[in-house]
Amino acid sequence: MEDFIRYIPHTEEDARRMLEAIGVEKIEDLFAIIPKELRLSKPLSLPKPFSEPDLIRHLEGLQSPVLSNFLGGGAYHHFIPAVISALVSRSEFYTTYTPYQPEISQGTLQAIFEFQTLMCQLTGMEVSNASMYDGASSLAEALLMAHRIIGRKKVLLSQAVHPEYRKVIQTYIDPDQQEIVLIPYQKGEGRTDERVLFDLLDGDVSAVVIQSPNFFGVIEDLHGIIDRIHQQGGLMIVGFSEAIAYGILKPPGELGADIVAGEGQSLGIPLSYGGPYLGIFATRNSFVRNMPGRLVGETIDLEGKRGFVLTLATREQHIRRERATSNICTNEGLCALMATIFLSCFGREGLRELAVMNLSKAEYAKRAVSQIKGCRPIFSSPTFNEFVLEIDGDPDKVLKGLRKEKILGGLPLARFYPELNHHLLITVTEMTTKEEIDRWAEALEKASR
Amino acid sequence: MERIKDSGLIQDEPLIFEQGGSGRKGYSLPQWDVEELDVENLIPCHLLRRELEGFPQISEIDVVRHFTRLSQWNYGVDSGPYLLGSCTMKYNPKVNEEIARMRGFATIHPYYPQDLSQGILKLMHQLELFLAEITGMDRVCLQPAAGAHGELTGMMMIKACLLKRGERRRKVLVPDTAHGTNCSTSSITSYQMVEIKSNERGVISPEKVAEQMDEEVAAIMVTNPNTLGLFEEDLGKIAQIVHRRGGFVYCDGANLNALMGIVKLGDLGVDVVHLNLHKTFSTPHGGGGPGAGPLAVREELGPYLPIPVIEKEGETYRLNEDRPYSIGKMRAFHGNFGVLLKAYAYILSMGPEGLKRASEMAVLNANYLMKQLKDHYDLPYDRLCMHECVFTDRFQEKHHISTLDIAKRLIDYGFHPPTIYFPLVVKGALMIEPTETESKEGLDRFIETMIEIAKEAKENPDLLRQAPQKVKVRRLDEVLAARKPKLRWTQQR
Amino acid sequence: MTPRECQLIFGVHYSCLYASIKLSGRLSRGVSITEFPEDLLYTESHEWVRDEGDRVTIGLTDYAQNQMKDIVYVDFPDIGSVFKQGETIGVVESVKTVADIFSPITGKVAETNLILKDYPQFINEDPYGKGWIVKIEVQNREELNGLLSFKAYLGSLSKDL
Repeated sequence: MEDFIRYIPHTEEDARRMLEAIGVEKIEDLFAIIPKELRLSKPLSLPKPFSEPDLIRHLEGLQSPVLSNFLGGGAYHHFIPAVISALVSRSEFYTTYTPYQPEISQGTLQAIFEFQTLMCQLTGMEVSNASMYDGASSLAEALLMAHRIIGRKKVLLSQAVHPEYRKVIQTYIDPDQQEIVLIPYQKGEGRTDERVLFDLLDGDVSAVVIQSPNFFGVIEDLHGIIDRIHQQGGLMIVGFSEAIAYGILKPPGELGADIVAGEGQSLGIPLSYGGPYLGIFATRNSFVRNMPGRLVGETIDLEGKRGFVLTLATREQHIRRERATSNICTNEGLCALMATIFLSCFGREGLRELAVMNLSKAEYAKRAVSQIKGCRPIFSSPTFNEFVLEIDGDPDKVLKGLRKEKILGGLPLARFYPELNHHLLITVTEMTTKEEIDRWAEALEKASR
Repeated sequence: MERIKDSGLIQDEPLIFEQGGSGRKGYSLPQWDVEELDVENLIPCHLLRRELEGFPQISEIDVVRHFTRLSQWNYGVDSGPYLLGSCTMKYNPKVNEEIARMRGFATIHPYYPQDLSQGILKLMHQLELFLAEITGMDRVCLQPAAGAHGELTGMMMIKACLLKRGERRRKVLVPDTAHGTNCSTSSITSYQMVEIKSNERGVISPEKVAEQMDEEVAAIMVTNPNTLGLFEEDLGKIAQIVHRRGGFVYCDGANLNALMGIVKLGDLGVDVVHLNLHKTFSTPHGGGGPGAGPLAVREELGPYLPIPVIEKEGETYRLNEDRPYSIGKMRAFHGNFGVLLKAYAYILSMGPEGLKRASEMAVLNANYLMKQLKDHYDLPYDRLCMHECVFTDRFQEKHHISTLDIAKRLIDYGFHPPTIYFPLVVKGALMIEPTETESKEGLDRFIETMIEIAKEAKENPDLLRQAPQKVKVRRLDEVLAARKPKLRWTQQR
Repeated sequence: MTPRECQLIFGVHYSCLYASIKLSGRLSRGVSITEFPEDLLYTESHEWVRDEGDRVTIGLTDYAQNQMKDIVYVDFPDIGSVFKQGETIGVVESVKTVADIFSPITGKVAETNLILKDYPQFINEDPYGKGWIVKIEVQNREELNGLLSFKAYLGSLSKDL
């Protein structure tokens, strides 16, 4: 007997009795409605089944080696406390469906309510949904929502927003409905060029989108900008890909942002070669009925006990169908749970300390590398845990040199910004040791000679 | 049937914000091996926040107790039968969870150099081939994060293909049995939805499609088997009608669990199909994700696939973004790799015979259930079904009992209710999908319970109306939740 | 709201609505009585219309509110906005459904019953009184002739059942 029958419990006897009860002779008869000529006469061309130990051995062989690295750019290597995998491995959390039957889903529902609250607290906004697919699609949906509310044709999008997020936005937006206008970044500072932004800002703009910290790790100063946008009747959309930064940065909500859409992978979610991640989406109470995604609300039951339910579902696809605020159905529920547990562990003091450690380590790396001839950090504005390094030599050659020392030294930017063809994005987190940074700086120096 | 009385392990638990306090610590960070810098020296004050107001301060043990208690209020596939129609809540193999946690997968950054990610790329490429083989299509994209995301991708690709032909079609045909995402996807892609009514057999007829099909129609979005659990028997003819006028056939593949190894959707005339890995391919549902919704397409639509595309040259795999006709990117990076892994492992564990057996047993289970329950519950389509069947509350209406009451009473018996009130074309729908991982004993227990409930509806309907009773919370006031939305906890000062 | 929207409502018990229509303008339902004031005009999409000379007041009929069950939210048009006859002038929501409110006439929105923002349940409790939704200035009185009398509305309801 094949091992896969541990997943399919029917014995031959079971099947026989069931067929008898149904009133057909053989299993094939159950598929009589499918024309015979279309039914497959031979098995699917797939590998023969693996036993469990063989499967593990096979997969082990496909793994990537784990190297010291300075990679970031929207996905970050942060510490994941052991309690997270212990708790999300509880099958009552991960083998459940969407909580449509609230009486037996209070665990999931309360956890999402806590998640929504934490996201509001983190971003300074009034209401958050239960998650989106990732930062990129979350930001794209923010633009769609701004269009629904304001209705104007243009959107101003900072070039310092993550290039892949911008590509996703471009894919989502219907050019017949909305026009994207790029705002360049200021070459010396690395921040969105305010002058150009104000030049382009007019009554035809539904929203302005800026990411902070931006793709270069630079912290954007939204102070002067948001009021001007509101004066023109537009919305301020703030994106982010490094949630930890908000352990110390002023939350966009406090500055007057209208929609905040970003990536929560830093909050306890494994890198996993790019996914699954966690889209965060938060906005003002007055816009709540225009929000995409699921929402959990507090209520009481028949006996007056507090409980939680999915609510305002009339925005969603299963009710509003073609007029829904989005087609999103399955989101990133378990990832939201990971983030909730992460933030519960770190809490008020921990998130702050974590952010300060990231900042301090990145500064240490910046200073170390400033001593090296042949490379220098280029932007003058304050950064969080990422910065751009300019290399006099050939960056690919430099990275090859670092590879010899088993270090992935940074992310070359030429593929995203052709004008930054001698530049690397360097990311340092609390998981990068001083020793690693010293080794990296040393190897960088050697490779730059 | 003697029911063991359940004990009171259900403990109450406040919100995480209502616990702990200053001085409690639940985290551990690496040692400070660099100088701890003063933030205010590096970043201007006006860019800094004062504090993380309202954030918990709680010890590790209290975090663990909090979420452990929360988990005990939930019911998952591991708790018992989860017969939600259209969701394919099958068993989630544990070995797949272990594989996803392997360091060489879980800690790998998406921007890792491709020469160091060959195993990962090979896995993804092979998964694409597997899914193409199962569906009978040519190319696959693994990027979409969920079925709805896959639908969006597919419809965007169809739109791009038509535009390249110089055609600006404006309509999409959608059966009345369609899932809500089909409709919202059409509208997001700026198509006008035209509804096709199913016939008295519960399927769409070629005549109805022919009536609506013209050169303005970009595509028809079908689900096969459909949401009534019935095989769309005329799909082949319908595909011909649509193709003849230059349109595409989009298939919502959520119900693929009925067809693996039995028939290929490509052979039925489908051009684009999305799959739900968190349904058919056993990856866990997570309480609302993460999932994955890969898209399988015919060669004709290949050029429009999102970037990056995984290509094999000799023995090397690479990510290719140089695709001039691609619709672009549906997300940053490459897709939900942590989910794709599990589906890959599942397919390898099952092999061709396993997948076919899964579909056969899924269909066997559903028909068995249907036969055993049809004398007790109204069955609108009384013929062999596929992997799910739909009942209504018509027999129970005369006792003023609704589908909702039946569902809530099932909870008291320790079952997760089936899907209720969907599809919309059946009034009071009760959609049951047992999946193949449910044993005959499990099904018999469910059948017995449903029969008992039907009896209660006649003799003691209050039991249903008051249900559920043996739970942490009784029926909740959804009206209050919608009238006065309270969507977050706020600090009381 | 459209008859289809009525059908799409979760958990509706059509069998309770047997059509024994009495000329007093009531539809007996076995459990409670549905009311249709004789002095109002009606639309096939279940709005009622009170002719007040230069303007009309509109709301949802008792049948509609009964189908929707507990109303949780009303989306109002802006004061001063103009709508053509048949255009969607607002939206009303219950927990599980959403339904359009169609303007019975062409005209400009004069007033909206904003108290429904805090008490949407007035539509359920008093659909013809406290639960009024919008007042519209009449542009073309002839359009009112095309609306249904209470008898005609009852007749159209029995067709739906």
